[in-house]
Amino acid sequence: MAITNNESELIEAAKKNPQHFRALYEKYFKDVYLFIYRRLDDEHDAADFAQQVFLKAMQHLKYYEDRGLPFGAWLIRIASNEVNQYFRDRKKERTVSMELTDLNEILDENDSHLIQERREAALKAIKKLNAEELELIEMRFFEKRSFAEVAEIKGMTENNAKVKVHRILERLRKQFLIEAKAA
Amino acid sequence: MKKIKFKFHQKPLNETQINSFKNFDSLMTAFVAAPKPSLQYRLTHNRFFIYTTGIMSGIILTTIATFLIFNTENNQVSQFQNAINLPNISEVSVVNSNSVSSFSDSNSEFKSSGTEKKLQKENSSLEKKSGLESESDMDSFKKNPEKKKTNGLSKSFSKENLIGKQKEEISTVGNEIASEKSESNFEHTNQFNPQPTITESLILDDYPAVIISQDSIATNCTWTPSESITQDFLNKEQNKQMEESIGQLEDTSKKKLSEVTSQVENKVVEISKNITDESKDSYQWMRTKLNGVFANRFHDKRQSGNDTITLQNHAAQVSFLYPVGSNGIFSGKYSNVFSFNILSGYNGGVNGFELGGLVNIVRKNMNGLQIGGLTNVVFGNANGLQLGGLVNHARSMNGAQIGGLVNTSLGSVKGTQIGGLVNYALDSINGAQIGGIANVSTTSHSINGIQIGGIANLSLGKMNGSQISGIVNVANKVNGFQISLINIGEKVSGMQIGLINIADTMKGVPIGLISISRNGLFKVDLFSNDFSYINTSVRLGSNAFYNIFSIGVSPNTQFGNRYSFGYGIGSHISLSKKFFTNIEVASWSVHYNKFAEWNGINMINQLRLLPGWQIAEGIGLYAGPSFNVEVIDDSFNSASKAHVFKEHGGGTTGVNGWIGWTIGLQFF
Repeated sequence: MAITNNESELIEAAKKNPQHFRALYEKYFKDVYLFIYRRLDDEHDAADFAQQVFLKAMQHLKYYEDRGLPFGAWLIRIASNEVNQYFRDRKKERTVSMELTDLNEILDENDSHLIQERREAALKAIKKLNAEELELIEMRFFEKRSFAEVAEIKGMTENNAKVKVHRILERLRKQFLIEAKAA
Repeated sequence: MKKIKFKFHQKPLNETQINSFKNFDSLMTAFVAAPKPSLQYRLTHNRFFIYTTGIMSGIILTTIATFLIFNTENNQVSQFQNAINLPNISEVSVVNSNSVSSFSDSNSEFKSSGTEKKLQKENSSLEKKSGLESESDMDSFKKNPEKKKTNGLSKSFSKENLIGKQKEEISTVGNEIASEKSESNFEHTNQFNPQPTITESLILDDYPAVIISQDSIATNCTWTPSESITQDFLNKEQNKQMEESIGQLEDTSKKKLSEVTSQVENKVVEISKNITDESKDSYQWMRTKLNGVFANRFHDKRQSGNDTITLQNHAAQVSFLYPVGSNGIFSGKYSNVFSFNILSGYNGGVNGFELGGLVNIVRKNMNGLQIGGLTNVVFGNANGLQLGGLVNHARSMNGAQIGGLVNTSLGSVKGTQIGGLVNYALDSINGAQIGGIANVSTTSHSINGIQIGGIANLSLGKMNGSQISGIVNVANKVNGFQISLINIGEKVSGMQIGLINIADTMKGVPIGLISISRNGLFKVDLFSNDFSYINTSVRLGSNAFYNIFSIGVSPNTQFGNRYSFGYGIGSHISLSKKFFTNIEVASWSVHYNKFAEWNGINMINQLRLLPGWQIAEGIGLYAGPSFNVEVIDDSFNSASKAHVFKEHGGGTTGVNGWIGWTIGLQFF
C-alpha cells in the first residue's frame, strides 16, 4: 500500500481537478468495496457505501497530506469510520465474514475442523470483543492484512498493532476456554 | 457490538462483478451536486484564520478584562452594601425613645420581622402586671432616679404626672445606661439579664462581623412608654400632687419594683428566646443576601469539584494577604490574567500568570504559570506549570508541577511532576514523575511514561514505561523497564533490572542476581562438564533471561576434591516443541579440598551453547560445547590440560583457554 511518486502526482492533480480522481478511484475501488462488503454482506449496499466513501474522500482530498499514510490506507480508514458509524447509528447487525480455518488460527487449535460446540464457544468469545478489538482481529486474521497495513489503517505503529492483536488474542483464548467449559 | 452475524465461506466476488459497481461518473455527479464543506468547517481547517482569531480574541479579552477590573474596583463597596443590604442605623431602634440604643451592627430585618411590635406588646403587658400604671407609682420613681438606674428601669414609668425636669433626668439616665450597654456589649451584666449570653453570633469568614447578642437584645427590649403617654405627664398640677405622694409611696414602690424586676427579668428571658428564633430567620435572610459571596464559599471549600460558580474575568489583581487585595473579599469570584500575591492570595481562577510570595490558592482552574514561594493549591484543573517552593496541588494536572517537597494531583497527570520528596497522583499519568524519595500512583489506570524516584516508585496500575529508583519499584503490570535494587511487579512484560526481581507472572526479561517469578521460569539441572563432574544448578527468571546458580564437585582428582560454585545468566530459545537451545555465560569459583578456601584466584568463565531435546514434559536433555577461560593463580593447578591458549603476564596470575563440554538433564 506504499504510496508512489506517481500516486502523489495523481493526488495533487486530483486536488486541482476532481476528474483526475478517476485513476485513484479505479485503483482502490476493489479494496474499499470488499472491505465494506465483508461487513455489510450485501453487494448493492456495499456498492452504495463505497460510493459514499469515495465521495467523502473527494470532498476532503484537499486536506489529505502525504505524512506517511498511504492513500489506500486513508481510504480504508474512511471506510472503517463510516461503517462503524453506520452500525452505531442504525444498530444494525454487523457481519463478520471468515473461514473456519481462521478460527483455528485465532484459537491456536490443531484440529482442522472445530466441532460445533467449540465453534459456538469461539463465536461467543468473539462477540465479547469491543468494536475496535473485533476490527483488529478481523483485519489481521479474516482479511489477512499485514500488521503494517493494519497499523496504517488504524493509525498506530506496527509494533503497537502487534501488541494489541497479541493481547486481544490472549483474552480471546481465555474467553474461549471459559465459554467452552460453560458449553 | 452485540449484533454480530458470523458468516462462513462468504460468496466470493469476481472482478467483473466488482467492476460492475464502479461508476465514477455518478460519483462525479454526486460530488458536483453535493454541498461544499460548510464555512465553519473551512474556517476551522484554516490555520491562518485560527491563529488570527486566537490573537484577536486574546486582545479583546484582555481589553475587556482590563475594563472590568477597574470598573469593578470602583463599584466594589456599593456591591458589598447591595449584597447585604446594610440598614440605616437610625432605623434599627426597636422603640422610638431617647433612651433606646440601636442595633448598631444589626439590620432592619429585625424591625420589619415583627420584633418591634412584639416588644411593644410585651412592654405594655409588663406595665400592667407591675402595677405601676397608677400615677402614684410613677411619682415614686421621680423622686429617686438612681434606684431606677440600679434596677435597670430608667427608661420606664413615665406615664402621667411626671414633670419635665424629671422626665429629662429619666432620659439622661436612660441614655447613660444605653451608652454603657453599647460600649460593653458582651461583658455588661444588668438586672434584666444577669447572665448575658450570645444567643446568635454570625461571624462570616472575611466579613464584617454581624453580632446579635442577647445583651443587645435586652437593651433594645427595654420597657419604655410611648411618647404620647409621656406628654400627659407634663401637666403641672398633677406634678404637684405627685411630689406629695412620692414620699408615701417610696417604700411601697421599692417592694413593687423588686417584684417588677423579677417579672421583667423572666419576661426578657422569654422574649430573648423568641428573638433567638427570629434571629435564626434573620440568619437565613443574610445567607440569602450573601448568596454566592460567602455563604456558598464554605460549601465551595468542601466541594470544590462541584463548584459551579461562573467566574468573572479580570486582567490583573494584586493582593497582600487575602482578603487584602484589589479584588478584596470577592477575589474568589474572579479569574485573573495576571495575579500577584505578596504573601498569599485566593482567586477564582488564573488564565495567565500568578506569582505568590508564599501561597497561591485558586478556587477553580489555573491555566498558565503559577509560582508560589511555598505552596500552590488549585482546587480545579491546572493546565500549565506550577512552581512551588514546597507543595503543589491540583485536582488534575496538564503540564508540569515542580515542587520543593510534594506534588499532588487528585486526578490525572498529563505532563511532569518533579518533587523534592514525593509525587502523588490519584489517577492516570501520561508523562513523568520525578521524586527525590518516592513517586506514588494509586490508580488502577495506566501510567504511560516514567517514574524516577530516589528511593521508591509505586504504581498500583499498569506501568507502560519505566520505573527507576534507588531501592524499590513496585507496579501492578509492567510494560517497560523497572530498574532498582528491588523490583516487584505482578505481571511483567518488559524488563526488570535489579539485584532482586520479583514477579508473579514474568513474560519479559528479569536481569538481576535473583529473579523470582511464580509463573516464570524455574528449572533444576543435573549436569556434568569437563572440569566438574557432578553439578546441580537452578535457573530462575524467564525464558528470555534467567539466572543460574550452580554448585559442583569433582571427587578424587589428581589434586584432591575439587568444589565449584557458579553463577551465570542465560537465555532459553525454543526451536520447536521438542527442541531448544540454551545460550549461557557462567562464572565458576574453583576450590580444592577445602570447601571454603577463598585465598587466591581460581576462576573459570564459560560461554556455552547447549542444544537440547525435550524428552518428555518436564524433562529435557542437553549437551553442547563451551569455551572456557580460566583465570588462575600460579599456586593452583589448571582444571584442564587441553589449552588452546595460555597467557601469563609475568605476574602470579595466568589465563588459560580451552574448549570444553557440558551435558545434563533439565527438570521442570
